[in-house]
Amino acid sequence: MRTQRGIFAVTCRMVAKLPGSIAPGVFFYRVGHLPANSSMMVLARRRDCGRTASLPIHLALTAAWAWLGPTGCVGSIGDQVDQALDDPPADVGPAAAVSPAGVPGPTAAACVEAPPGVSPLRRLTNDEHARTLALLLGDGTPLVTKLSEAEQGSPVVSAPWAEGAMNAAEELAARAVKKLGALVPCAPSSGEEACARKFIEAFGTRAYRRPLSSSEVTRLLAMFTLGRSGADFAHGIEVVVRTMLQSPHFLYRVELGGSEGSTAERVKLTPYEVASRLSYGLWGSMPDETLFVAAADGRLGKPDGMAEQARRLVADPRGHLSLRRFHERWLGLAALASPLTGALASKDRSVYKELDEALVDDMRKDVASFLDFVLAERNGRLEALLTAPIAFTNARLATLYGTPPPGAGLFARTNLDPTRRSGILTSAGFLAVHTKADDRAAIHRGVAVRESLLCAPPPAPPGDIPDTPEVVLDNGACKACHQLINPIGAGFAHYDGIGRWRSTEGGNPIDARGELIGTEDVDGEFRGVPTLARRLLGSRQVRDCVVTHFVEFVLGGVEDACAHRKVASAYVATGMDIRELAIAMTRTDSFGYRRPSPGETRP
Amino acid sequence: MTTTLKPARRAAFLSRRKLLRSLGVGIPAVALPVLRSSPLNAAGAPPARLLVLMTANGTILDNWKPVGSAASYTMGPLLQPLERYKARMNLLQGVHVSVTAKPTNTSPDPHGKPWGGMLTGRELLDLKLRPNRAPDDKAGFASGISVDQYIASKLASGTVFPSLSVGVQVPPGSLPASYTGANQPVFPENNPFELYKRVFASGVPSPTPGSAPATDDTALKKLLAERKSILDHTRGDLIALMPKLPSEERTRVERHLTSLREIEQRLVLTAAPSSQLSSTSAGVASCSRPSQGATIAHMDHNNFPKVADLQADILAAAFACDLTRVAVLTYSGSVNNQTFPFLGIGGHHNMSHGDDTKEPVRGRMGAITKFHAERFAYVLDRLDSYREGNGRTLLDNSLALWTNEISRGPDHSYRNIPFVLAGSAGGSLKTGRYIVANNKPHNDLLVTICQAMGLKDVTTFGDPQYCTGPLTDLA
Repeated sequence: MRTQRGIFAVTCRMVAKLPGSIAPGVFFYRVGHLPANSSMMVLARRRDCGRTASLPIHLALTAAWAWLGPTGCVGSIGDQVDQALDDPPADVGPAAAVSPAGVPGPTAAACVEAPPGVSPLRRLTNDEHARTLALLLGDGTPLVTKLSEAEQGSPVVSAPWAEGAMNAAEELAARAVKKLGALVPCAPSSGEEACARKFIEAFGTRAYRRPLSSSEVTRLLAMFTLGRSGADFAHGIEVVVRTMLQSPHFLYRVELGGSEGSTAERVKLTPYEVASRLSYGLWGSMPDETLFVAAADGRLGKPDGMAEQARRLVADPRGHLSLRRFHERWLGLAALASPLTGALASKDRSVYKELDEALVDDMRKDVASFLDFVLAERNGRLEALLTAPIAFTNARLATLYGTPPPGAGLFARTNLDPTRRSGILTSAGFLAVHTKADDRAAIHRGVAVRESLLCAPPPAPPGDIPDTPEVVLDNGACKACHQLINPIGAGFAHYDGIGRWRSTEGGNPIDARGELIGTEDVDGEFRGVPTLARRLLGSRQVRDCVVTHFVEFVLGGVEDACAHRKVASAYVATGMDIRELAIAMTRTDSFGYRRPSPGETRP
Repeated sequence: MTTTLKPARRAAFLSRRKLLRSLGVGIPAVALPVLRSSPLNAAGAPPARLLVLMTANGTILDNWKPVGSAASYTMGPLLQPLERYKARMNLLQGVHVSVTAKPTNTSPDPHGKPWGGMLTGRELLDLKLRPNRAPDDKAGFASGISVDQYIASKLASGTVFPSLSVGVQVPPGSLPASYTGANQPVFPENNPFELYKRVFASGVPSPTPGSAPATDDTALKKLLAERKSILDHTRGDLIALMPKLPSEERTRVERHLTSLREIEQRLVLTAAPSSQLSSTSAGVASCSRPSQGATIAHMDHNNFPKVADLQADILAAAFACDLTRVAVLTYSGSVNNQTFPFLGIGGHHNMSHGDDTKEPVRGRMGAITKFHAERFAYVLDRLDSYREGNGRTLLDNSLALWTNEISRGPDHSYRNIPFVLAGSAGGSLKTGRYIVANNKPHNDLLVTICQAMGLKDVTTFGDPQYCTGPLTDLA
């Protein structure tokens, strides 16, 4: 049962402000790592909105709010909370209900999965666009999008973006028709219009990622005729390709669903839409031929069929690449690809003279090779990710890691000292990305661990932030949050801003004692990152957090507590193999469905 | 709402043949003349133009503020690079991005709130509506249209570009300042070479690498006809999707449709007979496209001054040629950690958290504002280099607003934003003043901007709870 300390820990760790309030002074709270849309979240919201104001936790939170102001951490109210919560209600938080698999969440009886994905229309990201074009047109199509680089993450189509799509379509269509035989499945000499129709049906199914309706075929044939007039057959085909590549059916992931099997609560996707959900989720690109066949013969209408395809996709090199991208994004390592921005750019070059774009690129390759190693040779396991003392070095990185220079082969696998190095957390790339200029207390490493591995990010910093990170633990308002951050960062003291090991700093021996505070199940002191990594590996909270991040990556930000629980169980059961996590996601009841949009009415 | 500016049909284009030829060999180093008719509004005067410069991380307000009275004052040291424009601009204090403090404005990022609210006058949306943002970026998109986009849509000036959004080293995906509506961000173009192509080669086919450029009107006409038919086809697909979508999604499809219309309008203007495009008006300095040097690494912080000035050249020319009347220029983006190697200064945002009452933070933060003032002065120089028909320069006919997401780094204050307003929008605003308003919400300033741009009927902008009408102090 819960102790007072448990309650304190829960509130301390779990409470963060959520957008939205119903009146000044009354706010919604996000409880724990639970997804914002879960049923537990709804309960928490109701409580916190004061509709059942008698619940002591709400009062405690409100008191904390009033006392600390809008950006304070509830954790610092310490004893006050404990006193206020002498007898917490049973349903006070997710930690109260722990499933047999050790995954917190609503009890089984209350568990009804809500399907993922809200929008029936999602614009391809720039990367998805480039990869889709490459797969669709094949034959060494360069990975270009011509889409405005600034528009990553935009939900809408702007004029520059639409123009980029037009330019890409024109350039790649012109390129594709130069090898007409590879593109068109028939000889125009056998009848141009029949051949064009055949092409439209075959190519269109892949471009729109579903079979075309007869009216669509007719309209596209008219585009062929337009291009053909005054030119040749190839130009007619070129105009058709340009048209398809600018259609919303190509540029968006369309999940309208079918009327069959849909209810007011969930929209059942068509098998072709499921094929795209699988391929974009696990490859970041369009479905391949096998997926189209599985959609056509109805196998993708059933969870077993989805899981079978998911297993195949994950085992494919494209699945491997996508999993690597997940890790890079999840752990903030994608920043290594743009060394001129963010923390890397802010470092003092007079202190880190060897830090240049080449070294950042080395770090990127080291990290990528390490992730490949974990995925290909260690079954994608979390243990290897967090603890394997391995790096992939060239001469520059060997100097950085203090290992013997490798032979002629670039990026040789190198064993590191396991008392000093531990998986991704001690890679030069991770350490460099998560240290900003003049970050003496390694705050950002602490924040990275809380955000990426514990899913318990501290609230955003308040207005008045002093210049001296060391003193924040003595300052009441700062301490609230920084006691959750700095002691973790302190455990990273042996690594400088670009990840080199140091035994002393300013003549004094390094003290790498750190402490985890306000976690669900790994509170306690530790010394150095290898110990921290082991500790994190044993934490249920960390495993849950991996699941949360992964589900967000694959499904685009919406997660459900019931599905989470099921998926997390499978993850734990397979020894925390990320590849199995991908497959388990497709085995949930909800994978083949979409949540209706607000205002969406179903036939 | 009506506007006093009627759509004035005009066009500004290169000779198509010349341009096509030049595109065949890449962008020429020599500027080609752009012939145009004079941009005039219904009253026969040149139209007003709006340029907003967005900067971030705050400043050292003590050194920014002028000393003296509204009528007689000395410019603060940080704005010394703008001294030569003192009589032609206004400095504004006492105005706050008050909507930042709206209780429901709970987007977790304290910096994003005034940034996203600056031009919209509204609070930010839930973070969940902003997928694929950078992990450490914690601001939602804004919840309404921004003043630049609003003005562009109301002016309906028929310019080739309703507006331009331009950036200098803004990290990809960074929170935009400009919105066509709730959750409809407009991102800036960072690459001056892409911007140049887009602005000055508008509607003209991009050459397919390795193939001979189209050199005759027949080929060009066919290409333009195809592009138009394809746009129609896409439009048909989007419209057919509409009824199958919930209402929330339809606004996004409408935005796509609007984008297609923008492209199409440029195609139409490009395809117009040459005779309509080549008249010039006496008394108007010819506008020409700026020369373009060799490509540089446009995201390299070392190149910031060069890139900023290239973007200024393009924007000023786009105004002068009446290719657009509204632009937002963003330096480095919200909460940016821009470095200034040429000043020996490191990450801007990290520094802004430091103690700005002491060195080195105080000096460095000030130096960055001064550097931005130099760049802004260059923008004004460019605008001022074009003389327009009414005896005024393009600068006089413009309203160039320079703002900052916050006033001060350490407390991230949204109060007393250091606003600089240069130009008079064609005489709509009195200039040469230092104005200290009496704690007004900045939405009032947005109303004043709308009115100065000719939208006299606009009496409120953004969240009405945070707007009291036009900023009377500035009238």
